[in-house]
Amino acid sequence: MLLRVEAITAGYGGTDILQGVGMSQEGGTVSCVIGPNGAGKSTLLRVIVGQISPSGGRVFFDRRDVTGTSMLERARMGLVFVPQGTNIFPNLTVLENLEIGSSLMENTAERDKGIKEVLERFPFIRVKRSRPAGILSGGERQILALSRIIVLKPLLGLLDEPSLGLSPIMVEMIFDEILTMNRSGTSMLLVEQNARKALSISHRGYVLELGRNRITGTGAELLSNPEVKTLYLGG
Amino acid sequence: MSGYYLQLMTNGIIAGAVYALFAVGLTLVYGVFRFINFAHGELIAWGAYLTLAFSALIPFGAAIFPAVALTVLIALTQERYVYAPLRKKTGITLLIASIGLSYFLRNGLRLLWGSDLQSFGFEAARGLVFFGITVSRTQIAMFLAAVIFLGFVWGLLRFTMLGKGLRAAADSLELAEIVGIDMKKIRRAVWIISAVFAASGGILIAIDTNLEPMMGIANLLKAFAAVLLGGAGNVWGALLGGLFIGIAENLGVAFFSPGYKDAISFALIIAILLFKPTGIFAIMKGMR
Repeated sequence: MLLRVEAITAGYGGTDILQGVGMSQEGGTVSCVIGPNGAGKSTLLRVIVGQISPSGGRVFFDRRDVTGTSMLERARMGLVFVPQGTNIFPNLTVLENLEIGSSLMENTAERDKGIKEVLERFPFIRVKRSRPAGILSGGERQILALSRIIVLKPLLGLLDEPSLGLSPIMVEMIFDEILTMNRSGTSMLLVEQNARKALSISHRGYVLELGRNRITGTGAELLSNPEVKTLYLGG
Repeated sequence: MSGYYLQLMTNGIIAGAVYALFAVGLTLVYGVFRFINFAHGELIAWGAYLTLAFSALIPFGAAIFPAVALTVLIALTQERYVYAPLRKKTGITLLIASIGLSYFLRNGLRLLWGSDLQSFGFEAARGLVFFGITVSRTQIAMFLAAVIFLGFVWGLLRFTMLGKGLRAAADSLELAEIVGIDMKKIRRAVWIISAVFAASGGILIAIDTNLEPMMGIANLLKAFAAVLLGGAGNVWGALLGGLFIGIAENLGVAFFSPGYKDAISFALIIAILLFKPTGIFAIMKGMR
């Protein structure tokens, strides 16, 4: 088991958004967390990466109890988080974003190899590498943010709403990238409002509602579950 | 007559270069910590006074080094025992704490050295004349020191991972922590740079004029105006802002009595806040 989350209670400023949520993920798989707004999906990711500390429950990663450890420590263990919204540094150049985004890597030769791989894979990044990242379009920013995972090759990538606000073509591209990263060995855990798309690439899916586990199953099971269908897949 | 203005202009650029040193330190702190450090001026004054103290024991040239080092220590102590414990509070808390610290440090100067004007006791050397413009050796040293230090900052921000991390932290503190930038290192670097710049500038100004406990606050005002001109958090904006303030107040001497020099900075602060609070020289993206 790569990741195990047990009975997490957590929130901001005294109000608990998560009330005893649990989940787990096997190494090498893709999982997704879906559910309505305010269900606590993003909060769950923030607890897993260590950005907020839970008031109850435990987080295990790579066979270690990491509940009390810092974000930096978890990142060093191979937990990479791509948040929603600001996930690049707009005033740094595109190349500097890649460098800073992978500065955790001590082996600079490996890092440079990873960055080269990204530059070869995405022509727009290569062309605009010396420009400030703020000029990139929404989709390009998302690819740049995801590139951290391509360079770092972590054990687990956590993505918060990777397809939010993107054009259909861009959404396809992002999901293709997620699968490619998974094939090259990184497990992926995503929070998505595009439930159909997310479930179709996931080995396992979790439906959260009002801070609690609602339904859990394989991606295929959830896609055909009548309740999930009516509530989250639009009938 | 144009020689007169050229002379004022030269004086202005030199004074402005030192203001730029103060302003860059102040704006770096703002960029990373998101508060205006009102105690920044006291680092300027302490750098000068500590040099005075050490120069009684060792030659002046050597006294600068322990003085600057101790000023850095003051800055790191502030960070450790005042600012770091308050970091989780709102920005206004840090601001008020820094005002308190500035009073504390300023009165510390009065306690140790008194309120009277003091000086390093250099004889006024004859200035050098270039194309009809007179420049003193001190002014040359001021200009060179500013160019070297600011060049250093440019290189740091542009080419080193530390500098890139610093700019990243100024862009988004939250994301900087997420991508695993070592914030402890960044914070320490910012305080060291700002203290070294403040102390060095303070020493140069004290050689040029004299030492008094209020010298910090007087120069903080200029730095503050420069930071606003450049857009808070923007390093190159602060640099240009510093130069602009220096030139403006020295050219102003041609029109008003020199006693109104400081009024120019004040008037500029008010005007910027009224009409262009995002800064006028924020054209180049320095940090933000």
